[in-house]
Parts: sequence; C-alpha cells; structure tokens
Amino acid sequence: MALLTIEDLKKDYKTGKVITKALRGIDLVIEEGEFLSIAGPSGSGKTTLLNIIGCLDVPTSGTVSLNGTDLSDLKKKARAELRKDAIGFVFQSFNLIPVLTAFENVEIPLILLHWDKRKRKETVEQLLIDVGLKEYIHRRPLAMSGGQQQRVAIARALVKDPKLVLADEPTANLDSTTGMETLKLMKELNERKNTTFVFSTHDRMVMDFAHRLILLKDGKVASDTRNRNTPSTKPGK
Amino acid sequence: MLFKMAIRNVFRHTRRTLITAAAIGLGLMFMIMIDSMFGGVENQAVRNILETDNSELVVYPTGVFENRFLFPLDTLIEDASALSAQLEADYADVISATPRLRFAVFAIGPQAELFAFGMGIDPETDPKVFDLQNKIEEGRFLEADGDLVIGSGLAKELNLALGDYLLIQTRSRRGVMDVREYEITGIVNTSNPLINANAVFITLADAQTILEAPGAASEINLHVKGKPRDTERLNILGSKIGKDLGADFELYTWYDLNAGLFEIAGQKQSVGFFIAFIVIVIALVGIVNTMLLSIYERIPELGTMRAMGFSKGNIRWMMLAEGSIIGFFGGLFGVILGLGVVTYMTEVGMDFSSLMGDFELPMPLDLHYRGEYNFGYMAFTFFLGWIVSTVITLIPARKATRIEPSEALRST
Repeated sequence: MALLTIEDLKKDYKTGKVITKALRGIDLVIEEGEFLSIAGPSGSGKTTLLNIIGCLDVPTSGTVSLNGTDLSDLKKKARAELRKDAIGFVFQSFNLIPVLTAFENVEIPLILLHWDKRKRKETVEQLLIDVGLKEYIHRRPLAMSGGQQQRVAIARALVKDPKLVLADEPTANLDSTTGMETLKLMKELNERKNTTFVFSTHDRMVMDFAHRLILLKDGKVASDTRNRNTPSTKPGK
Repeated sequence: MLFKMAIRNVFRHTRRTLITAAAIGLGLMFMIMIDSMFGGVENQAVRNILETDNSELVVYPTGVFENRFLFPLDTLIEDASALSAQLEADYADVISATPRLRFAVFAIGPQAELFAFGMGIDPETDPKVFDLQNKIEEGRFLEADGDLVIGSGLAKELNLALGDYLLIQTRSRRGVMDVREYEITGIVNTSNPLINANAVFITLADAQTILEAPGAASEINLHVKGKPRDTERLNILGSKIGKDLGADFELYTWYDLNAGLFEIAGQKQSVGFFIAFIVIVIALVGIVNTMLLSIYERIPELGTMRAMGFSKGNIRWMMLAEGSIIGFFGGLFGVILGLGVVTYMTEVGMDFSSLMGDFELPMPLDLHYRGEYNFGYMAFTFFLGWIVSTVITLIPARKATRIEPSEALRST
C-alpha cells in the first residue's frame, strides 16, 4: 500500500535574481514499511526532497501525497500538525535539546500530543530500554557519545509511533561501527513496527543496508533499485 | 515543559545571564537610590520648615501673603495672642497655636553688620508649635524679655559669640528708626540654613515694643493633627477656619508658603522619569541583546522544535519566560542592592559639608543628606524591571518564531 506518492515534484530556490532548480520533476511511490535510502552527490536535491516530504518546505510545483493527504495544499499550521502527529525526524547532528535529559527529549513529542504523564513515562522508558539506553535515561546529550545521542534521536522520532521516519544522513557524524549499530537499530524497529524509514545519505554502508535505493542526480531520479540482499537484524539470518 | 526548558536555557550561559540581570539590577538600584535621595531631601525640607519656619497652617491678615517677605507692618493681626488661644480652643484639629511677628533688621556687631530678619516669638507657646528650643547650640532658648537668640551662621558672619552684644536696628510701625542693644543669650543651629544664616529671635513682647505694635503679630501658626503632607486635608481645614474668621484673614498651608521650593523639588518626578527611561533603555538593550544572541546560537535547536511540532506560540512563550526569568532576577538584584544603598543613605547619610566648606544652600536644607525608605517605590521598580524585561522579549521572540524549520535545520 502506497504511503507516499510524489508526482512531478519541482522546487526552485531564488537567491536575488538567480534561480536554482533543486528538484526538476520527481516521480516516486513509497510503500508502507519500506526502508529506503535516497543517495546522490551534494546538491542533487536529497535534503530538499526530504524537507518537502517532511512538511518542512513546500514544492514550487507538483504534488506530494502522504496517506492520501496532499501536502502541497496544506497551510503552515496544518503542516505543523502533520509533523507533530505522523512524521518522525532523525538529523545528521542529532539535534537533541541540550538542556533536556534523554528521557525529556524523547518525552517531548508525547507532551505535544497531550498524552497523560503515566503513559508517557511507561512509553518513553520502554523505548529508551529498547534502544539500549537504560542507564542513560537521565543524562543530558552533552554527557553522551554521538552514537548514544543518535539513539535518543531515533527514540524521539519513533516514540509517537509515526507512519514515516525521515532521517537526513543519520550516520554522517558517527564512526562506522556506531553507524552500523544505528542502522541495525533502525532496521530492527522498521521490521518490528513496520514504520517506513526514508534516509538521505552519502554513505555506502547505508545504501547497502536499504531495501531500496533512489539515486538522485541534478534534481531528478537517476535510478531506483531494490536490494534483495540487505542484511537482516534477525538472529540467525 | 516549556517553563522547565526556559529556566534551563537561562542558566545555560550563567555568566551572560548574570551580567544581563546585573545590568538591569544596577539600573533599578540607581532608580531606587535617586528616589531615596530626592525623597530624603524633600522630607528634610518639610521637616526643617515645620520645625523652624512655618507650621502646617498659617493665618495671615488678608492681602499680606504676596508681600510677606517684605515684612509689612501696616497690616498686622491685632490682639494676636488672644486670637491664637481662641483658635486653639475652638478647633479640635488644632493641637497648638502661636503668633509670630516678623520684621527686617540691621544686625550690627562690633566688627561687622548685616541685614537679617527678626522674629518675635512667644517663649511659652512657640515651643508647642516649633522645635527651636531643641536646636540651641550654645546658651539657652528665649526665657524673658531682653533675651536674644541668633542663628549660628549669622553669629559666625558677625564674629559674635554667646554673651557678646548685638545692636538691632529696625524701623517701627510708625516709621521711627529704633536701635536696641541685646546680649546674645543663645545661639541656634537648626538644619535649616535660612534660619541659621539670617534669623534673630527676640520675645514677641520685645518685638511688639520695638515695632510699636502692641499685641500684634504678622501671623499665627497652627500646629494641626494628621500628616503634614496631606495638603488636601489642610486646605479643607484652612477653608473652614478662614470662613469662620471672616474676610480679614487668609489661611495658607506650609506648602503654599514654600511652593517655589517644592516646584524645584517637583523636578524630582521629571528627573525620576528620565532616569527610569534610561534604566528601561539599558534593560531593553541588555535583554534584547542577550535574547537575540541566545536565539542565533539556538537556530538549529529552534528549527528542530518547530520540526517536531512546537507551535510559534510555544516558542514565543518559552522566549518570554526566558526574558521574564532574567528580568525577575534583575529586579530582585536591583531591589536588594537598592535596599542596601538606601539603608546606608538613610542611616549614615551623605555629608557634603566638608566638600562645600561654609557654603549654605539658599533653601531649608543642610548639606548632610539622608535618604528615605520608600518600599512602595522599591516594589514598583522590581515590577517595572520584571515586566519591561518580559514585554521587550517579544521583539527577539518574534524573531525566533519567524525561523523557518527548513532554514534553521540547514544551519546544523
């Protein structure tokens, strides 16, 4: 079942009199539960595409439909609501709130969704245990390693059980071992919760890990390939 | 959660927060200090006037008020002691009353001579209205006819000491020039330089004799119940007594008699407002600068918050809370500092007399200033600092809410 349908998506940026065409007509269908990687050289449009899918930016033309809702028609407030309800974000620099503990960082999306305190506590603690941070629940980001911070960021993205998680170069600031562990964690959550993951990446390891690899070049889809030999996170496979 | 984040954000850069709060606090302390100084000066002036020169309400013969500094003798209150006693008896609000007879004199000492003003006072009733008897520096207060008390400054100018002789030259009511010799029986040193530098006191009876004005006085001073600063109440009482006394008399409050002086003191408000304006500008610049710096440092963080679904209102609220917390601590710091300074100014005071030498102000003020406690004003400055800091944070908060998440995240 298609979670995301993108048709003839174009995005231009205007700087003074110079117009930069970041996306030049993207057509894409992303199924529910996919573990998909968007790759391409710098300036190919990866982040722009992710921003539009994540309701952080609007297209110049074309349509993006998430679960049947046309994102290009939405007002700012409605886009903010959609982000709050249905989309999780994982950023390259983790982007945790430094003044909050791991628990509080993960708790924020649930506070915004008005969950009651007891349910929040149970859910957040369980999720932090799931991502292997039981001992770090009350630590602030600066007292944690990059890998641990990224785990908190993943927990924060997943805590509200979103349909879609967008990850902008999630392993770029991690060493290869930590990056691999992070990918395995996301893959495991993808398999367990059937959450759709869309990454942008430069990293070969991430590309190899994805079920599907979209290669962007000059704002267009240059190739769209499926990887049948992705490493499994399940024991014994 | 937003308030918790705001508190933690404020103390993220403790030094910066403390510097901003200290700037606000210093400004508020300055406001409190200036208010205390002006208030103290005004209090001192009022106290000095009431203790030495005019009582709360003064009865004059009609038409004299405008020319009172020329000491006119043609229009006096006849049978003044009787009227004074009657006023004291008839009005429950009048605690005590005393007549005074003012006149111009030429004070002649063996080595120097000066123009001064003479005052005939009743040694029995005057102490019930004024406080001159407690300001005697040497010798004694007036006890009997023939005694003379001189202001300390005037005695110094004339190079006279207790027991020396002084010639008093004046023109009587009929225009006859008269000269009398007095032994100085007392030297008075009040905190009113105008009295110290210019006044010669003799008994009312002596003055009436010299001026050929038996039983007359130029004014009757009424010491009345209630706070002297409540001039509205004084005016009501004055109107009532004036109406009862008829068209021959007019009543004035101590404030009316010294309006010129208090017009100058009235500048306090303008100066106070000016200082408040400067302080507010300092607070504004400090807070806006700190908050803008904080926002620029946190652009990716604010972008992340917006990406997660925080509304513009959430961000604005958090920023306002941060400004408010800084303003709260700034206000608190200012009041604590201000209280310390005011305590020093009130209990110890600032003595400018050594700096100014023999200079005496042409006002009922001495050169040892003392402040006054004004807790209402301290509370006002605290809330001013707090509220202004909160309100002004709307400017950087607006900036923070305008950050587009996609733009903000690009700068990570």
